[in-house]
Amino acid sequence: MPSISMRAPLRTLSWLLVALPLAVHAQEMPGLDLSSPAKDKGKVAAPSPTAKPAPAAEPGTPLEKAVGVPGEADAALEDRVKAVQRKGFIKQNRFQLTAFVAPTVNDAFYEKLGVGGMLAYNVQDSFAVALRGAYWFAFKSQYVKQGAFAFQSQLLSSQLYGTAMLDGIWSPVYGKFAWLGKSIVHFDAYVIAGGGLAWSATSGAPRNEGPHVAGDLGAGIRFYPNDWTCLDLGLVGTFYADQKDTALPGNIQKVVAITLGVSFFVPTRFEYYYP
Amino acid sequence: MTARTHIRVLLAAAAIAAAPPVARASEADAFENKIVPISGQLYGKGGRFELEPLAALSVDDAFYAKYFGGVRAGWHFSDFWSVAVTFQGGASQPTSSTSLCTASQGCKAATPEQLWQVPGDIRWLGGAEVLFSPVYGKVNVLASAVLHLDFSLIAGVDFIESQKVLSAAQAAQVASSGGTPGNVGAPGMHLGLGTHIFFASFAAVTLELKDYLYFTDIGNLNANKLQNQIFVELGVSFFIGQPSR
Amino acid sequence: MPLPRTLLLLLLAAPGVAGAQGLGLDLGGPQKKAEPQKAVPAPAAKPAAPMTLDAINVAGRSAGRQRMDAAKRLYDDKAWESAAVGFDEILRDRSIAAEHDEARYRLAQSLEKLGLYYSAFSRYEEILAKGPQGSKFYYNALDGLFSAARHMANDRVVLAGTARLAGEKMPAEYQDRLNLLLARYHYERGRALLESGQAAEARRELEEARRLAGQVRPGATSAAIGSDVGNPTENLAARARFVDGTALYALGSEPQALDAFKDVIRLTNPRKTAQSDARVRELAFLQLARIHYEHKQNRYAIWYFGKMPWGEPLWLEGLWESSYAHYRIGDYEKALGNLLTLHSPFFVDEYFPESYILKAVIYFENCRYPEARSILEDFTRRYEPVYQELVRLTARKVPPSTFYEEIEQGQKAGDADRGSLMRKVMKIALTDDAIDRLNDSIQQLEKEMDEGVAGRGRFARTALGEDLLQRLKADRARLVEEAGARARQKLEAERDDLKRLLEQALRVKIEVSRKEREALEASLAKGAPVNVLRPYRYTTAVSDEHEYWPYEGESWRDELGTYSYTLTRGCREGPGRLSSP
Repeated sequence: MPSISMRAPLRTLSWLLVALPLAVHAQEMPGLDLSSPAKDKGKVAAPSPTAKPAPAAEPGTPLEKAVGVPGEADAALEDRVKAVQRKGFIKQNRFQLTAFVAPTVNDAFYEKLGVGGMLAYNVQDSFAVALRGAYWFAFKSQYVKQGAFAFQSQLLSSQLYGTAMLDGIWSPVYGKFAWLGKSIVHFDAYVIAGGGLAWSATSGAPRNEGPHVAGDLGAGIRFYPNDWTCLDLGLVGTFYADQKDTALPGNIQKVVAITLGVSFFVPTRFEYYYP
Repeated sequence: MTARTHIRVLLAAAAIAAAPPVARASEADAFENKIVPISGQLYGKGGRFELEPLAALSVDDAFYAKYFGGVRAGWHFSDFWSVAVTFQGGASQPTSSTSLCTASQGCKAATPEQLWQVPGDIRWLGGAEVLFSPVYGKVNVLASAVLHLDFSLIAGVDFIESQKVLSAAQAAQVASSGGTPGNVGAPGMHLGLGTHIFFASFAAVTLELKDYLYFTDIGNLNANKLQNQIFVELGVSFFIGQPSR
Repeated sequence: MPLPRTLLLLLLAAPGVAGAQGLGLDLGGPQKKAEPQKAVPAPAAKPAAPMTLDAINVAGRSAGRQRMDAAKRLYDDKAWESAAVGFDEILRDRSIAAEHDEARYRLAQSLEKLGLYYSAFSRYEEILAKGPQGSKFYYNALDGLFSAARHMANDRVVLAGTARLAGEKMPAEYQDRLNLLLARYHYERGRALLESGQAAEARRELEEARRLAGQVRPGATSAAIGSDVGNPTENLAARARFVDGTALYALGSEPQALDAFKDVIRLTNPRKTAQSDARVRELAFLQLARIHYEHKQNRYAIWYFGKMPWGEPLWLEGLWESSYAHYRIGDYEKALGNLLTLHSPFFVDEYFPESYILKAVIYFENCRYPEARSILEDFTRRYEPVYQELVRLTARKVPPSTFYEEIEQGQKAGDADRGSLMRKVMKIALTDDAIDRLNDSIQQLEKEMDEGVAGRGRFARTALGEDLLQRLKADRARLVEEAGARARQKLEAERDDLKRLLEQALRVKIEVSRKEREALEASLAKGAPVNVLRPYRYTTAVSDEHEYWPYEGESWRDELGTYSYTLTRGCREGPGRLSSP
């Protein structure tokens, strides 16, 4: 630590420098030209590629042992610098109403398209509880016929009609990207998991087994175009037990679908709690 | 044509492609339209050659699951555009959907004669593609790790060699002669999405989802049918050269 | 006490002030017809209509009236070039002096329609110089003056023009704007008189500025005098209060000045008014920050600096000044973070040489001597050549216009010359607000000359065209002289300041060397380092409302201004943490 006797000139120097803004820049107003995306700002000379912060080199000379050795040429990389920026979208304490479509990606024979909605409440900005429901429509692909021909057999499937789930949604991951070198888009990634009920062909007549216990697990990303909407892209698997035929044992049915959704938030505006 | 997976891929691609122009953190980006989004980009691809050994796994298969390995070589004109050539091949295996179950005899695998009558047994494929990477970004995972990545839209043309799909009669004939159906090649195309996850200035993990489209004759139907084949490709890309800025 | 930039900041309120809204109100007497408000078109790309007038039926009407009617028909048919020539010919004909008053006004209108705003402005000024009794079109000309003024970059021309209108009675919605302009005019005069040492006269001018600003009605906005697509509606009441605040500051009444600026903030609250006028709001925050900083109320200053909206023209300046406030309270983390933004590649063209000194001092105070030294060496390497160039430029005995021509050349330097000295030096000159505005005016004049007049083919060869070119050339020459003279003064001032900074850098380097020597002697004597560089704490924890991004050398524009340093090593305890997320 500098001794007191050395502090005085140091402080004088410091205050001298501190007084500079008024003295040096008196009578003028430097202007920052942010008025237009001038071409000369398009290609900014980038610094030479820098690696992640490297540990300071080992001191060699007695002076270096006494005062240390500078590491990176850019002192900022030697020290720890962080950017703490505000999120562009706050979800906490807001309701979220989502409409989605969900084409399946794991059944080459009976493709399904889910159409549904979700009502969620964001307890925290990174956690929400949600009620999800969907109707499922099935479409037979060309492979059913080909398989029937080739194997001279019937392809059994669990015909899913609807699902209703209670889920938790956790968003531990956030990110952003630059689009075409122009705009910045923020997004977050979430994991969704929960349980509920699934209705299939065996739920109703003639077998009348009622709804099946189901679970779901998935992940996705969300983009936020404005204060009250978001675009959702996810991959969610719904699992339920079903016995396609009384002659066969029951097993876990897996319906994995890509979800494409649009969400609306209520209230439509948000406030930052922290200044 | 049914609503097959390639439409899903297109939908997903469209969702991603359409999202950014409207999805933005408007209040958090006060300098939009004034200065470029990024300066001193850490990981650049423009002006570099890319070499990627890869492994590929087919998904959403009806009859055959494929386990491929391959290689891709590409040239990046800029951070946004690149071209590449790719080749991959490997082994295929019948899926569980080809198990035949009866009440009395349980489940057993389909015979080769039966399997020769269904499509999807791809031997190898090779092609050229164009990649458009409008997105470069970073992801913070649990506030402890930051990953830099990009996203790409992929389109290309291919030549796909697969096992010939026989009719029942042809399959019986081949089976009785002790032969194999032989292969048939067909031109095709593919669409896909990809991402590079950079871990060094010269290397990145590459993950791609591609939907290959090609026509093949189905013997039993006596018709030429469009085939969808989705592959998930995982590889490590090595970038050779210095990025142009 | 010097009057720093707080006063000059008023100039930055000018663009909006000068940009009067489109005016559609007929201010003429009962004998005048209402002038329809037409949109000002872009200069016509095609050659003008023929320069001759149609055959005139002289039966029953005076020749002068007939010529006037013919010219007005051309105007109504949007043949503005021909109409302008026609009105000019009427003015040149002494035998029809009865028509000159209207011809003068119509000519000004035609020139405005052609996009020749400077020319139109001066013609309107000629009409206004005659006074309300001297011209039937006085109030129409006033209308036109405001209309042309909003297209002009240099508000000083507008200010000088409106100063002559002091005392004139006009409708309330125009009166507010006029009072505001006059208030600014008297304020500028007062400031200039203060600089020249005429305190008593300056006080009178400043008091007059306050009086005029006080006459702007509460709630007055530019929307009352017609909408202007493309120009945001100005909050005249807030701007008047801002002028009042700066005058109070110049008069030494700082508490009252603070109240005035706080009133501006209240009046421009976007949640309470549609005319939030971002420009004056930003200025008010900056003024409040500076006054608190001046009185060593650093935390208040930091708070106000933080309220300045991101991305606005003065934001970077506020960021720089807040770095000093953070330094004063020992918040080195935030000070260095702000400096990181200033030194990012985005702002490599901006001129903040002192920021390197501050950065070096911070590292010095944390016993990071090698880093302090390298920062100072970087500063010297960057700015020593700039200083030498400034010495060379200012030592020349050349006319002022030469300085301006070099500014022009510096602006035209392309990407390849981006790092060139010339460009840096000229960027320094353009940091002066007055020079920047003069530069904009000159460019506007040149465009009016080249495209507006000379580019119109036959129009340029008419007597009117030649007269316009002559006047514009004279105006340009006058502005070039003024810009050049100011540029010289600016470069001389910056040369001297840069010299002081280079000397300071040398003194700090000497201190660094001394400390290094003492540390070496102590460690040699003890056999171990004396000043142990202790590791600091670093946290990645942020609130749910924030995102944490470690800086790895890659700058994202939405992270600018949010950087926070943690010195990983140093001889101080980590600074007391502010209430940051």
